[in-house]
Amino acid sequence: MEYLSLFIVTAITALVAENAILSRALGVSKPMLFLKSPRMGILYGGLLTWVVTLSSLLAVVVNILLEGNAYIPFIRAPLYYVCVGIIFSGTYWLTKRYLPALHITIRSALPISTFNSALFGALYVSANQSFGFFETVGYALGTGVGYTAALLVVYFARKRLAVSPVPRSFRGLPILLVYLGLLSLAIYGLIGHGLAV
Amino acid sequence: MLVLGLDLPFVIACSTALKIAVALSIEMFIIHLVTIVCAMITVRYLPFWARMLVNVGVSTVTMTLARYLITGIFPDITNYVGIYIYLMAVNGLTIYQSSSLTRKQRPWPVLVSAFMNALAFSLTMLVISTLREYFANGTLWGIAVPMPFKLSGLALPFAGFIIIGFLLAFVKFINKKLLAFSISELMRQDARYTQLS
Repeated sequence: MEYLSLFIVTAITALVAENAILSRALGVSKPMLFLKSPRMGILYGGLLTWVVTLSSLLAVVVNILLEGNAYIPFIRAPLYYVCVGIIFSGTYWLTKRYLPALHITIRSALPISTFNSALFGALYVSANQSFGFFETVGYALGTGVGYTAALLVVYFARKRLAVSPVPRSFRGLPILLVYLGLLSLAIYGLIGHGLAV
Repeated sequence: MLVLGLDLPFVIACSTALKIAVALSIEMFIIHLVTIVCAMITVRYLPFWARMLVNVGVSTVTMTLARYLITGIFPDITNYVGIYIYLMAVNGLTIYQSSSLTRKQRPWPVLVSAFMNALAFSLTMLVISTLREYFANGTLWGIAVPMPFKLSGLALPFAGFIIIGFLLAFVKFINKKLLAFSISELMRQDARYTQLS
């Protein structure tokens, strides 16, 4: 029960309070912010969730192996890359071999979703905060779901902003970034960060 | 770089001090140029998915070496940059440019473009970092500068989103004005030529 609550609390933290896009600006890029349809957002986010959750299982093993090692700053990044690379290659080849229809759908989206700062960021944050097994996996899952939710929020916000009377120079990415800034400010308020007075 | 919306996480979250901007710029130059050189080779021999895997592997190893160099120059930089120093291995600019290379592209223009992109990243980081460090902390390169008031909220990520949004709108405004000016100049020259002939 204790482990389940740890898992859920960490996942919710990653989903809302430490949302990859809104709190750390991870995975923010024009191609991700300008998705053509909500289906694309779910596809990119779903793939990221899949890869980050499975990678986190391997990352936990890496963290245990590296405990007390003096060369952690030099070894951790390549080892995390190997973890993510294994899941990426496994997903690519297994879908190609056994689920060709799914493979065609995810073929082009998988590299973009995998080699993304939000995915690697979740693994590094877990390691920096010395999370255990359940927290690491919960944080990874929460990051993936939070990223998907943020992509969908951005998609629908963009649709509304497109028909709003916005100054010409602000149309497109600038107003979307200002909007994200205000959302991010709201998250900061929610988790209790106060502005200096 | 700003218009393409790449590398926004670093500009939004890390452009809070000049030292950070310089450190990340050095890291970006090293990672970007080495990875692009590797990408020019892999594009000839590997399929897309394998290319992505190899390119990110090279950028991760390069990042580890670059991090070693940077922590030698700025010993306390990891305290300020945190996970972002590692995430430079999967920065959007390098991923985007290395994955969009084609076999027919000649090496020299690709390298020049890579250098210019890294330079654009550095300039953006330097400009925004100077503004944020001065207005948020009242310092420049860590040295106190007379400042009648401080806006400490500017150092937070939400301010990064808003500042980048405004800067991007300004860049779009200037681009439009320059385009309009060059079109009017062309029309003026064309009219003069028509009168003479």
